[in-house]
Amino acid sequence: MIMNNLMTQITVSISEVMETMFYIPVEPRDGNITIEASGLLESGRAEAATITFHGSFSGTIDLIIPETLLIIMAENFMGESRHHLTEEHLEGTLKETLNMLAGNTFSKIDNRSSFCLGIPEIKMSGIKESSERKDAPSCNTNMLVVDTLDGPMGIKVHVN
Amino acid sequence: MTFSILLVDDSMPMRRVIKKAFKAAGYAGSNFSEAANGVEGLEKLEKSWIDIVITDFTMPEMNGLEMLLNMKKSDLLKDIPVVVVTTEGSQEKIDQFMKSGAAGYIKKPFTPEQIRDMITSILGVSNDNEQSDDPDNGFDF
Repeated sequence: MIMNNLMTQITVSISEVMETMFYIPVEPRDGNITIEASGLLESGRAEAATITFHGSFSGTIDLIIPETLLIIMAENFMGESRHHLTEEHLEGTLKETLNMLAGNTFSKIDNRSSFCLGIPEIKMSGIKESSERKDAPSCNTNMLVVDTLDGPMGIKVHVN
Repeated sequence: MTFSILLVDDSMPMRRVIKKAFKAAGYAGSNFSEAANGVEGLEKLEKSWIDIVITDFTMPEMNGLEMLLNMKKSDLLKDIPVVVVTTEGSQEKIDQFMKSGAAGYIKKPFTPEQIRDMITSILGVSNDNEQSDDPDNGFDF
């Protein structure tokens, strides 16, 4: 029940964040998908970030974005040409996207309760670390993949 | 009209986005200072004249609320308007910020128009006729 509601609100929130801040429409795929089946591993280098949340339930949200898509997002976000983008720009864009996604999601779940969000952190080994848990879809872990015109992005949710 | 604007956010891309929204709203000639957390923000406030502070809520070392409370204790800083730009989902935290004397808040994700409207309502001026000719300062950031 908690996971279903969480995934519903994350799906709405990722659309709002991507369209409002990055002008990129997204199309969520149906069902709970593994990283291996997501196509994210075939997209070349990908960056991943994670954020913790604590409240009436707790857990983590990981955001996984192929570098090609992340570059386009950073360009749209800051108005910088890709030639001027640095690693700091890309990591900052990834972390800020995750931050907005998490904040927007929990404001939809319960606007009055106090969900505390951690500070987003880059997963140094990127997508590898996110897939290492070998999280088969379960009641505690779920994976949402959304498609854009420039490739897929993944959101992995774990509830403790 | 130009202003001295302090942007306090640990996210460099977000500082850049907010700065761009200010420029698009007609404040391109304003002076922008930046800080990565509340401690740095207070240091900037003590060293230079600032007309308005735009701050994130959650930051390392000192968050936006702690910075605001410190400003309210200072005769020199207590009247400077502070706007929080936040991802915080909890209305309770936003209420706490407003009760502590914030001039307003904007929730992320935001549109550039929301930034412009907030600035205009607080500073009491509209700079619609001072839009920058710089195409980089358009709203399509």
